Amino acid sequence: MDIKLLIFIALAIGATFFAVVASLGLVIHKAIHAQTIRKRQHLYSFYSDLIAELLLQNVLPLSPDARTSAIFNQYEIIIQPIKNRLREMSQLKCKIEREILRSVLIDFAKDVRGEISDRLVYFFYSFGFVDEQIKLLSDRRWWIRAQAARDAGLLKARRAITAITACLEDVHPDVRLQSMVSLIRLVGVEAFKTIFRVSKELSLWTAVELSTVIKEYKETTIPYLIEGLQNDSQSVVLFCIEMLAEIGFISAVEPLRKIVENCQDVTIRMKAIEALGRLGDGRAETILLSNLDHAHSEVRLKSMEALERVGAYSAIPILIERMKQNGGNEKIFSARAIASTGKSGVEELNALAQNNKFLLRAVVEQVLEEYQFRVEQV
Amino acid sequence: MANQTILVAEDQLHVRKLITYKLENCGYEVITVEDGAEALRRIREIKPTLVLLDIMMPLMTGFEVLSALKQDEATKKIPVLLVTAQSKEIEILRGLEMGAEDYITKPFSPNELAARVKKALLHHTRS
Repeated sequence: MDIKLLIFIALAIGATFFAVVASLGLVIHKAIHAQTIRKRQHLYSFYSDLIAELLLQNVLPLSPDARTSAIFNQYEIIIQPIKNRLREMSQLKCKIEREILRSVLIDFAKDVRGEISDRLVYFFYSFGFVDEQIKLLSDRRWWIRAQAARDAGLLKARRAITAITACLEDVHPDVRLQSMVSLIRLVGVEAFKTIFRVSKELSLWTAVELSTVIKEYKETTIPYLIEGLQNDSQSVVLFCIEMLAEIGFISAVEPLRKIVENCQDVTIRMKAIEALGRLGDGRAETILLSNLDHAHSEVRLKSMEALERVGAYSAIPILIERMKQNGGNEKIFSARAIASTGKSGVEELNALAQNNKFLLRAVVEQVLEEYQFRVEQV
Repeated sequence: MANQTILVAEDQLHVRKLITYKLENCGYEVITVEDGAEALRRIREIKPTLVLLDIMMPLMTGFEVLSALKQDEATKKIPVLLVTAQSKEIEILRGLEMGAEDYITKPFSPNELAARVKKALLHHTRS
C-alpha cells in the first residue's frame, strides 16, 4: 500500500480519536459541573429548611434575674445538631457545607428582622464565620474583600468594625463602598464621622450609593457632612456640599458661607455658591454679592444664579451695574436675578428696556418674556 | 383554621421556607409557588383563602398577578398581601390601589407576618 495513504489513514484515525476523547471529556466535565450545582442546590435547600426551622423554634422563657448570656446558651443548644453534623464530616465536605451554610445565613439576614435576626447574628458568631469574614477582608482579591465587607455588615458582625474601618482606605472603590455601607449598618449615623474623616477619594458610583443612604438618615447626617467640609479631598468636600444642599437644612448655611469666603479651590467655591442658592437663605446674600467681583467668570455666573434663587432685593443696584458693564452671559444671569425679586425687579427691568444699547435691551426683553412665561405657568 | 389555605408566591427559597414554617405553625395549610405564572394558575385552580404575593418574581410580576386576579370574577375576592422591599413606597401605594389587602416589607418579622395574615383573614371573613 502507498506509504502516503497509510500516513493519511493514521492521521485520520488520530484526529477522530482526539475528537472523540475531547468530546467525552467535555461531556464528563459538564456532567460533573451539573452534578456539583445540583448538590449545592440540594444542600442550600437542606440548610434553608433547617435554619428556617431553627429560627422559628421556641426558646424557653427567661427568668427576670437571668443573665443576658442565658439566651445565648439556648441559641447554642438550638444549633448543636448542625455543629455535630459538621464535626462528623471529612474536612473537604465540611468546608463545602460550611460555605453553603454561610450563604444561607447571609440570605436570611437580608430578609428578616426582630428577635430572629439576633439569633442569626449569634449563629454567625458561633459557627466562626465572623473571624472568617475578618480574614477575608484582607484577601488579595478585591471582589472577595468587597463581599466580605458587605456580608459582615449584613450579619451585624460588630467584631469586624475595626477591619471594616481599615477597608475604608482600600485601593478598590467597591471595597470602600461596601465598607461604608456596612459601617453605617453596624454603627448607625455616627459612622459618617469616620467615613468623611478617613475617605480620600469618592468615586461617582460611591457618591451615588452613599447619597441614597444619606437620604435615609436625612438631617441627622448634617453635623457629619459639615465636618466633612474640612476633608482634604476635593471629591469628599464636593459630595458633602451637594448633600447639604440636597437635604436643605438651614444649619448648613453658615459653614457653606465660610467655604465660599475662604476656599481657594474654584470648583469647591462654585459648588458651595450653588448650594447656598439652592438653600435660598437670605443670610447668603452678602457673600454672594461679594463674589460678583471674583476673577473667575464661572464664579460670578454661579453667584448670579444663586442670587436669582435667593431673590435678593438689595442686590438690584449692583446687578444693574453688572448688566450695564459685563458681557452677554452675565447680563442675562444678572437680569434673571433681578426679575426673581418680583414686582420691583420687573419695574427696574422695564426701565432698562428703554436703554439705547441694543444688546442690553435684547437681554431685558428675553428675561421679561421668561418671567412672564413663568408667571403664567404658576 | 384547618381549612384555611394560603398560597405563598415567592421566588427566594429561604424566604419561602421561613414563611411556610411560620404559617404552618400557626395552623394554616400552605401551598408555595416560585413564579408569577405558576401562582396565577394555582390560585385559579385551588382558590386559596389568602395569597401572599412577592412583587419581584420571574415570568409574571406580583402586580401582573394581582391585576389578573382582580379582573377575574372567580378570584377577585381573594385577599392578597403583597411582599415588597421596604424602600419602595411607590410599589406599596400601587399595590394597595390595585386592590391588595395589605403589605409586608422586607426585611420582615415572621411574627408580624403571621399577625397581618390573621388580621387580613379576619377582615375578609367579616366583610
